Amino acid sequence: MCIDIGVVGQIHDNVQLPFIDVDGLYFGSGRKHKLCFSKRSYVNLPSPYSNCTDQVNFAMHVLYNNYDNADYGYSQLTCFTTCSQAYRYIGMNNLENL
Amino acid sequence: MANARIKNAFTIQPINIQQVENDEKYQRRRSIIREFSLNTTAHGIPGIARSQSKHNCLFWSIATIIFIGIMLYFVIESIKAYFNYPTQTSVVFSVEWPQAFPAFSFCNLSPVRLDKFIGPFINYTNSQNLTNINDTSSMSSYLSQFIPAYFQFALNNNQSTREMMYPLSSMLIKCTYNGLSCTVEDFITFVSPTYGLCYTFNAKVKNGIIRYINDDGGTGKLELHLYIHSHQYIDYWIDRK
Repeated sequence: MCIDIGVVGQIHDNVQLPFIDVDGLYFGSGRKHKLCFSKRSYVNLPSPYSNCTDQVNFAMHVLYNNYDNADYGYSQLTCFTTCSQAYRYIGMNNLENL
Repeated sequence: MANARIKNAFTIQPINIQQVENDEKYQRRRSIIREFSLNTTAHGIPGIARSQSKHNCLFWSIATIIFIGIMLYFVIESIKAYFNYPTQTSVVFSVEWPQAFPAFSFCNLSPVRLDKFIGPFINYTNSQNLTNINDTSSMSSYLSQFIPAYFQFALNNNQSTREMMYPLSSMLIKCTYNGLSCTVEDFITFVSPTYGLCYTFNAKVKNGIIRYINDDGGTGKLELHLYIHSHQYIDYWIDRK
């Protein structure tokens, strides 16, 4: 029988793509749930001081098109996810053209 | 050769040729070095060149070598430090006011609703000769194992599964932000492979604004009352994550 009844939810930044399958919290039905948040931001210097970027590449834009007209920013996890999905579909040679 | 050239030059501009020829005998390698040593702006080397006694020469030589050594040490240390590309982490506690209210995403734990799902699903299992049943209202343990295969089939054949999922309008009983009511229009929609349709409140959208905590004089409180349609959950189908 069905064990989990309720919703799954996640608090995230306004420009952050939610990975609700991974980070989501369960909220059982018939109860009141209260969620609080605190914000911590990390600012990294761009190249050559680090290998950080804030450029949203083409593959990530394609993914974000499935999120209504959300204006999400760069995330390393999203970049890796789109990269591995693209690899599975089109292979290594075509990946370089993205 | 050089003499001939100098003489040649001074026949055009005749001054005292004798003078130039006398100076020329010092223009040997040793004297060039001596000349340099006496005139260089480094302090130690003229000291060595000027010295009349052996003790004086020794003192200046040792002093010069020691301080050149120290100088080289610091220069090399500096170059090595540069090529290490050192970084600095600074921790700053900043008061941010007004603060943006974060985004909140949620989905019904069940990806699809039984009443819309079971018909096409049973059709699929019958067409694949997996089952031969006419009862299109209930789920069994045996049937549930074909659910992932069905979704794959539907996706590969461009069959939409979106209408099998829970629309927000059917789930949202009440929504208020800072005491003011919000509607389905305040959410954006996306599809999760695990949970079906999901909804995000206060995501940044193109040409849109995001809500701040102090909007309408509130303290940043989003209140959601949701109806989750548990009677439409699919038996035997649990979150496979």
